[in-house]
Amino acid sequence: MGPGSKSVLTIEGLRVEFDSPHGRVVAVRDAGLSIRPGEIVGLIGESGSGKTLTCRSVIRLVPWPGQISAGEIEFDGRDVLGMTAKELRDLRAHDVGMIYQDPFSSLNPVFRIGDQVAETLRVNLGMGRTEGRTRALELLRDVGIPDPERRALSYPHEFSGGMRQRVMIALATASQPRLLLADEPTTALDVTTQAQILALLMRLREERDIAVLLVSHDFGVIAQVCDRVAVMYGGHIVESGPIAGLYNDAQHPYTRALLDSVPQLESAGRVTRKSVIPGTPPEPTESLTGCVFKPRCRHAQASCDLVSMALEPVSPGHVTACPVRPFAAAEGGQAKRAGAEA
Amino acid sequence: MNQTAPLLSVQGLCKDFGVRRTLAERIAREQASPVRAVDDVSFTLQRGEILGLVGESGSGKTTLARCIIRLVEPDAGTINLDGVDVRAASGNQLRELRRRMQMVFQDPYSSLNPRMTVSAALHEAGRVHNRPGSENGEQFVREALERVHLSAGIAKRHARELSGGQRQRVAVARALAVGPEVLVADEAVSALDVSIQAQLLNLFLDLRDELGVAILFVAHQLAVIAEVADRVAIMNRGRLVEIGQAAAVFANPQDAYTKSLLAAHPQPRLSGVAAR
Repeated sequence: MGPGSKSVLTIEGLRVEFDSPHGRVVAVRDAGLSIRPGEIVGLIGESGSGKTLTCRSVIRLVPWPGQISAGEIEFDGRDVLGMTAKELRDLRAHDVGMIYQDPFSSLNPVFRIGDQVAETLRVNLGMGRTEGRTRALELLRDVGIPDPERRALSYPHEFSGGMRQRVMIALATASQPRLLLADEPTTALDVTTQAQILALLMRLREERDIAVLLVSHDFGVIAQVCDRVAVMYGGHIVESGPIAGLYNDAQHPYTRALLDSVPQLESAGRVTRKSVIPGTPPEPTESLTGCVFKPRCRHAQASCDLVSMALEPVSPGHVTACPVRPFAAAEGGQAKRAGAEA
Repeated sequence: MNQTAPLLSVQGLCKDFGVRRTLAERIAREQASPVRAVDDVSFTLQRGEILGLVGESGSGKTTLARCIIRLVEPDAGTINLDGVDVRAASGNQLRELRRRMQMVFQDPYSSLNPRMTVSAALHEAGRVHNRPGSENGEQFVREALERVHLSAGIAKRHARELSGGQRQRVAVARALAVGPEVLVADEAVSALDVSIQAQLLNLFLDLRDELGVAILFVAHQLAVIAEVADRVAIMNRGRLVEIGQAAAVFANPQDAYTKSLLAAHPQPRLSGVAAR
């Protein structure tokens, strides 16, 4: 299987399309990604970039009328796109867990928390009632829910947002999956709660060697927990690499502009205008030739119309879809990002 | 520190919300204790100043913002705009006060009328308050759009035909169309993508510089506040726990809650990353 054989998940050439009244819309184009065991990989992008669809494609949860029209998804050496309904159910039950942005709509409001966790264990892992109940309490304790014996009797509405997300993590990791898909897991949470949930994800990775695909629009969150990150724009992955390499030495103009847009605590008391990306992200219905970022790019050239969006290596593990490399030439490729020095 | 009288002055503001009694309380005929959403809050806002108000969900920051323009009636305290008692105002006086203090909400989709064009929404705001120039609709709308850096071409569109960033600009344009002195921006950039958020933050800074409008900027994200605010107020459980110059509060927080908020802010844990 080549050098990628150690990966728990490999995505290649993924394409997701929708039929809309305005014709065929391509939401994800030629996306590729791999995750090794115990690795936390971030997928960052703005709304409409295709990050959530890429994440959901891993367990074939692309919402109707969307469909995966091309590509390969390999989980642990198994071909996900070729799976039968039964195999797919097993994959979702045992091997891949998923948590969503809004834990409240993922929990059943009329059943007690403990019963919901126990039910998952009975159905997915074939545990008996007593065993399921005991194990459910252990799981709840493990994700940091205080006094689980009592809290297991509560209903979802009696839990705070952070506690609900802990329950979701307990459910998603109940069957000891090898991969956890986390789609904006902290976006709806307050910053102090967010810090706790991120710490929990990192602890699970340490203790159980779970690989995590973390989808987020927040570079702060990604930089805090991820080992590697892929940046999506207009359905394409435009740059990916180790987090430090990307953060210090972004080669794609979109990645740089995105980093420059992130609000910084250090700006306090030194208020200046931020350098911003003009315009808005492309609509999925627009068909663009060449580089998707060209209309908003300050380094755009005539040759950008011919760009294929194929990823080319910058340094080991670090790839970019921008062949112009406006930063490599000017700064020798090693310059530190200097957002705070202005 | 500042000799001029403040434009807006809030003293000892309180707001309670009644809660439904639990079954046990109803059986025992007990009164449910109300929730104090805003608890003895005092602050001032100078002309042309941006005051950031930060707090987590449920801290009372939105209730406070709404009390100031009397979308919610406060229970106690005083609100004074440029010498006028806001709490005592009624009728035409209240209408004039609301012209001088405008609000921008988090979700422009629900704060703009879906059946109105951008032009109609902006023109209506001007007409209702008899703004000078509003008799010439086309020019009034064009100027309102220019103020928020939008082209006059979108005037004929409806809210649903605009992107999130454009919609929020229209909401800001409508607030500014009546010539306010205070803008209350309640989570006005929270729902936007970072690249669009940065554009809007620059816009708020431009408006302050060009029009001299004072802004109470409510947000849950500390870093967003850091990008725009001159001074910052931290709210927790209805109380202002700390207020001061933005640089001082962020660099040297005094209150334990402020410290915990700053500590929870996501920071890269990378080695070899320059302080940004």
